[in-house]
Amino acid sequence: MNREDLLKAIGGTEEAMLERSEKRTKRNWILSVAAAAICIAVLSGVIWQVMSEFSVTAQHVICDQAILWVNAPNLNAPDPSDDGNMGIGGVTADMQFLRSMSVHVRIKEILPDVYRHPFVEHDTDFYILRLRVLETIVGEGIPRDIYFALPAYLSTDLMEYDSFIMTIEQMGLEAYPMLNVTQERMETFSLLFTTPTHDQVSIVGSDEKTAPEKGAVLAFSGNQLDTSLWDKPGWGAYKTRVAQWLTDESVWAYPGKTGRNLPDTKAAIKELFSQHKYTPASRLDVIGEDHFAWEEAQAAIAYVKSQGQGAFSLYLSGDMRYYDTNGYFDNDMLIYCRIINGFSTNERIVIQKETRPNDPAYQNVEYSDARFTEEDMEKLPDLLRGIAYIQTLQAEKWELEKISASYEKHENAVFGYIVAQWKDTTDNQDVETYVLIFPDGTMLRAQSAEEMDQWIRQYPQ
Amino acid sequence: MEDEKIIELYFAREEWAIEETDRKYGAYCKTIAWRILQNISDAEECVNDTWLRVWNAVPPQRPNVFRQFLAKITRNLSLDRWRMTHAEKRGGGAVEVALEELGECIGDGDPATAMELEALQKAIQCFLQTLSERDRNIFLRRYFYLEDTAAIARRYVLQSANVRLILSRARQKLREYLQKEGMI
Repeated sequence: MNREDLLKAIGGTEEAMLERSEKRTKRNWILSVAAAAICIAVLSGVIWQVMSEFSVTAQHVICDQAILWVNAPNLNAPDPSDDGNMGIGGVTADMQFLRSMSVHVRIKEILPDVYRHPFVEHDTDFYILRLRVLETIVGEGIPRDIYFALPAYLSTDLMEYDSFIMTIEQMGLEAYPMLNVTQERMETFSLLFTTPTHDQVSIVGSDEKTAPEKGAVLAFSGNQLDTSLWDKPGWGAYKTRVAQWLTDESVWAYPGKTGRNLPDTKAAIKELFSQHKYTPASRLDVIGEDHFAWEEAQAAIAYVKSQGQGAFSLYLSGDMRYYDTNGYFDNDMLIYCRIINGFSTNERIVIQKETRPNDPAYQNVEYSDARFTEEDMEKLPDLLRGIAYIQTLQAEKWELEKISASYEKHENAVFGYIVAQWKDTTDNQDVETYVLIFPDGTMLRAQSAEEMDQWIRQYPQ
Repeated sequence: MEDEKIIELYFAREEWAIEETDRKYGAYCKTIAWRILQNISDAEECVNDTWLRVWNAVPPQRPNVFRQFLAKITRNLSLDRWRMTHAEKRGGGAVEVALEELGECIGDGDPATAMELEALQKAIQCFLQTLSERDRNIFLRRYFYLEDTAAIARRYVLQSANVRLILSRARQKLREYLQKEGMI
């Protein structure tokens, strides 16, 4: 037996025992849950109406593609301490079909009360912003004014911008309940938006002049194509639009470039870069910053903050475990997002520290995770080419549900890693197809993710 | 909608049972999955798979605590997916850290057979009964829900260092318990 068996066995814990572990010590959460239970039963809370411009029959046909790219010249930062180098954690670029809308907005007001999702297990506070939509970049049927739920700690950042471009996702087609924590009552929003990932906002620019043209490639945090909505009223056109993406040349067009011959990806994206200047975020909100007492962790946070291209924290993780009777091993991880030339990244720094209890002066700090160097950036595989190839693998009666492309680095080689998920409409089963792009541009169709990993590990360096 | 009513919908094979489940517990399950997979789209897929599993399991099963019934399915599906897709590529995630910790309690032998796993599950249940309620809850938040120590500390109004110490002692006790039961 091994540790994986143990983790699996813990999964069989009795439900009553798990239920008891959910109880929190904080009283106000229990109050909120009780208040929510009462309000849900009655459901007679205040209903916020959207501006009259919104048509109930509007079809939110949503489509877009995004390439998240990092083109940072200084991925290797100067070492803030005397030991080793501080490297940025694994940098990836993803391309996904998304279910997001993208709008250029300005804040009209922030509602005074604090809100929470009534059925979400973690207690993230939200503010509700009323936004005026200056331009709809991607999407249809979005009203002029929208209500937008945003984690509270990000809202003050947004206030610093006159306007901004963001991706939004509608919470639901019907009334969406939110728990008003301030008033301790349930309120129902007939139209409420949030970001595709609740904890992150990708801000492209704060200047109206930098608003991208319609159809241009934008960057924002991803969200999976949600096919469960396809059969609901108002979403029918969405399905058709997805199918059209595969042949619609304008979807693949970059400013100044059109046509079926896909442009040189790197050159096109670099050109796009230069058109989208941005104002860096003026502050970084680090969740749990006080959790990290080490100088090394503080130095890592200071380094991230010093990146002039703006950053938002995404997640911090820290823990300590006993390694053996001679010492313990600490592991802290800082995961963050940067906005670089209008594109967001997900990066991380993992700091590992080994200390011997009888020799406190001994410290060995290592920064781990793969780094993408400037040299790597010059020879990244052409993901668009790989995606074009994967589309040729479609069988009759398959419908595309999701396609994901990323860069994977192993030792000194960078690969393109593409997975497409299809629905076989004959038996409603999911089908996945895999394509690996080698550093020399060769493409390989693999049978599974495991096979792709094997090819990556065995690639001669 | 109350859990009992939702479960009755499953028994009546009404497909909107899934919709009601998603409405009530979708965000909850998504949180559990996200914590393991650290990826929104993978987490959403796991939650969709959870609904299918529930549909196939109920009936004949009639969950006592519906929320936790869903949590278990989501967790186990997420772990399976994590194993398939993330084992070699990423490092330092919640699952890896939890596995590193649990490695102190048990050796690194061959994977357990189904019978051994069942015996291990029973042993874990008995072991958990030996812990105080607070320590048991902290243990489950860490190794069932894969919450990090900072979040656990906030939940129970403790210092992170206390949480780590409680977990360390619990792992030590678990190791001794498993040794006593002859499982390692």
